[in-house]
Amino acid sequence: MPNDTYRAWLYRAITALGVVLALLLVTIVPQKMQEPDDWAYYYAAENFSHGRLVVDSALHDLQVSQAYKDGGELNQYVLVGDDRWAFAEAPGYVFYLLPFYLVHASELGNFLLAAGLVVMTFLLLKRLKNEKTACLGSLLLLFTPVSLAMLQREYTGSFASMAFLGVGGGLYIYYCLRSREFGPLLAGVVLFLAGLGLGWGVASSYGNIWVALVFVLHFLITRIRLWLKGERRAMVFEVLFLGLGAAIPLAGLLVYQKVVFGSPWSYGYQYSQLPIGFALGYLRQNLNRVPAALLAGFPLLLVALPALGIMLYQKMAPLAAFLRSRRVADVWPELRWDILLLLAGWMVGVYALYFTYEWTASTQITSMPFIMAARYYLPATFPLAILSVLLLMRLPLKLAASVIVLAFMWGATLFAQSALAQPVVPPHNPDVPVTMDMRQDNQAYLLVSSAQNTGVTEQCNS
Amino acid sequence: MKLNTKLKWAIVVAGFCLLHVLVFTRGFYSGGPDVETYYTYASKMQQGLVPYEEFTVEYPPGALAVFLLPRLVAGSLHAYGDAFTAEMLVFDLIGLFLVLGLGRKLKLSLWSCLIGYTLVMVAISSIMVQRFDMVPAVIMLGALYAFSRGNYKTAWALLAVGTMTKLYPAALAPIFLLYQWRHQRWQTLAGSLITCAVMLLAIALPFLWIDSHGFIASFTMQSQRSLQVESTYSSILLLGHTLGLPNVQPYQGRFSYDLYAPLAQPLARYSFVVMGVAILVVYSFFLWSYRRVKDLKLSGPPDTADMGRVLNYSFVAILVLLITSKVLSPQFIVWLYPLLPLVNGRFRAAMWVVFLVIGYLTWYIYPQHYYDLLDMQHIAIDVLVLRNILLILMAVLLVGDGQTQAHREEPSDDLEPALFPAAPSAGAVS
Repeated sequence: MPNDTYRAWLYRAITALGVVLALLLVTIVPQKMQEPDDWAYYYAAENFSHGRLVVDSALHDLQVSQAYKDGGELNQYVLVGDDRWAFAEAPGYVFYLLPFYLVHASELGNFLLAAGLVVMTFLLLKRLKNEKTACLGSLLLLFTPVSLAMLQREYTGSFASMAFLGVGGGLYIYYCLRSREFGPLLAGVVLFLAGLGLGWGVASSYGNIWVALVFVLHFLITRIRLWLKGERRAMVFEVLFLGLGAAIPLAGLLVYQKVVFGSPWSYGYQYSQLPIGFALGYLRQNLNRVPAALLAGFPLLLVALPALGIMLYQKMAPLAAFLRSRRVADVWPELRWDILLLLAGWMVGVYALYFTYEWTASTQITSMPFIMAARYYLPATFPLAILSVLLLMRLPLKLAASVIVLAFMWGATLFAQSALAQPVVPPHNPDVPVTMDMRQDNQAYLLVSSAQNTGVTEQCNS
Repeated sequence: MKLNTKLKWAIVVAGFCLLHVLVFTRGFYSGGPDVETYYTYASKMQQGLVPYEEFTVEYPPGALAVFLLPRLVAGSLHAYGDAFTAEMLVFDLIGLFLVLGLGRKLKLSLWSCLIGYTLVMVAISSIMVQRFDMVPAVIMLGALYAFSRGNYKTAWALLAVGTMTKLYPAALAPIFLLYQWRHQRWQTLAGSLITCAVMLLAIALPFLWIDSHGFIASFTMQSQRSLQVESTYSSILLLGHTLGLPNVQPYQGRFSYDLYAPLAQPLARYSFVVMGVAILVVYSFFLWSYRRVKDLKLSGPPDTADMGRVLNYSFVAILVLLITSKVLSPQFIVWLYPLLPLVNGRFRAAMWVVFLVIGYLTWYIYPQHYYDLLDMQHIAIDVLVLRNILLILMAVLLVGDGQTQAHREEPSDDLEPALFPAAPSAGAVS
């Protein structure tokens, strides 16, 4: 067997093994229904499976008390009318989950998405660089702590919202890179699936709309250029297939909203009493509170952010040189300008949105496990992994290998932490922050905690 | 250097000095419980009380001089805080000039040295003016500067002063020793060691004579400390706690918040062994890094490659002290401050990024979420673990790079040729 073919199969085998390992890990570690979201999705799947898109108060009360009895909390069903309670979240994931729920194998829903996401990432990175990059990038994406944690939680839509977006967005970029090589049938299928993925991503999480808009913007700009070049038939063909793919889930979403809320433009969050708004005013508090959780949940950020900075800077250098009538070689030929901007826009579409999120700003999230704040940012993991691995492949082997090994270890450990642990103390009231001014009274903490720690302290002092 | 270039650099350096002055005086929060303690000691000394004999002090005599100096001009605690900040600022600015001097010696871009020094200062934040750790760090840098100029006796003398201010600069002594031994500078070595011993005795003897027990206790009482809550060992135990390890609990110790756990006591006891072995490994690697150097320079000051090696391994030695110590207080990060901009090799840019993150994570733990850590909240623990992992990563990378570059003559400040293919150091002054 030629050496290259052998290596290619080796990397594919390692990737497959990594996926199996990740799936084993999330299967072996016992799952807990940690947050109200898990209970909401669980009862949504239960209700939808019986054809109940809305439930009456009697059934809702029963489900609330049942969740409470099981140690959970159901608070994401909202009152939308007279004796009508509806699921507050975007329903795309629940509809996707239904077949798996009905055969009592809900976990397969996320497993299938994980496999699809890894295949997509592998194909894209192979196209961008090589099989080795593809192998590492796919596994880094999967072994990010938040990815693993949400992959395990089949009754929360977070992993799906990332996976649908990753598959759809990845296919779209893949198409942009290879469109000249595709025949009409394959091009149509790829574009249709890309649209379907992006659309289902939005139907699974309303927040993904901003990322979808970034794709729409890219599509518009690049297709207008195509139009101006005179390739109008190709442009119409692309619009048709991408639009058709995206229209199916989005039309489904609008129909669902019309049936449940009375208008296609109404949605569950409008009825929620929870602090789930978005406003620029929350930016400062989120910038204070969220980054630590993000670093714990997405260690890839440590590589991806410098990577983005370096790539943007070095992509600009040839532009600046061109303006001065000089020629400078592009240092990142594997990553086209428009694709880099698309990936950057994808990240911004997620991070900018959730840095203005009310819930993370108004809750003492620093007293909770990292997953509770970090999981909202999961849809941006795909571009994080792509940018990270492209930089890692340029770094000296020792540095890259150290970072990769650490990333896998960190991913597995923090996943276990997230899966095994509940908050060790009840979340503190944001109006009475637990942190006090240590400079003024260094002993105050002892007074507060002495009642709990007396035994230990005495034991240590003796 | 041409006059124009000199003028340009004078303006640039003045600008950076001004920036440091602004950040120290306007950006950082001065004062705090440790500065209060320094004030108390300084006040007692001013009243004529003799340290070690008439009041117990846990600091070496050099530190007492640092505490006393601002008290001579400040009448109140508030004024003392300001004066202490000014004192730290002076040492910071001395450090800046030393960094520039060493940067030239190492043929690093002076812009990068100035920017690196400033970025690291911002990353470390207010703890720079709330503790005195800047002083021994800058004295240590002074020792390295003297060493780079071939003034070995001065280097050893400064190392002795640094050690008498806070013990950790002593970690550089074996590197100096090995360098001089390897380069067959026997005469200078003997003179250096005598100078160091004389300096140590000159500082220690008066206090030994006054109260030897109290003086020695100021060193030994640190060794009796328990496992401090931010140490690498503690972070592993705390991470274990989040994964289900029972009986882990922080508590208020004599000097700091420490960790109670069944494994804590043995870990604290044997941390010295771990530290000793780890630092011996670093010295061995330093010596080993000369294995491929064929033309050893046997006279004159160290050349660029030699000095790059000395600086990198000095940085690693201090890092290893931090990582393996049973105490890793937030101010210990200051020990790395003046050396970081001078770290050279392929990973220079990566080191900066990693250290900036370390600075942020340290600030997140202390003072921002210290009580979250004591409450054993998960994010605080994760941040602590991540911070300590990054410290270890820095040490591993530098040692690895040192071995890779062992045969190279000149240290490089490129991240990687492929990444920065045509990145001449525009600001470099040769």
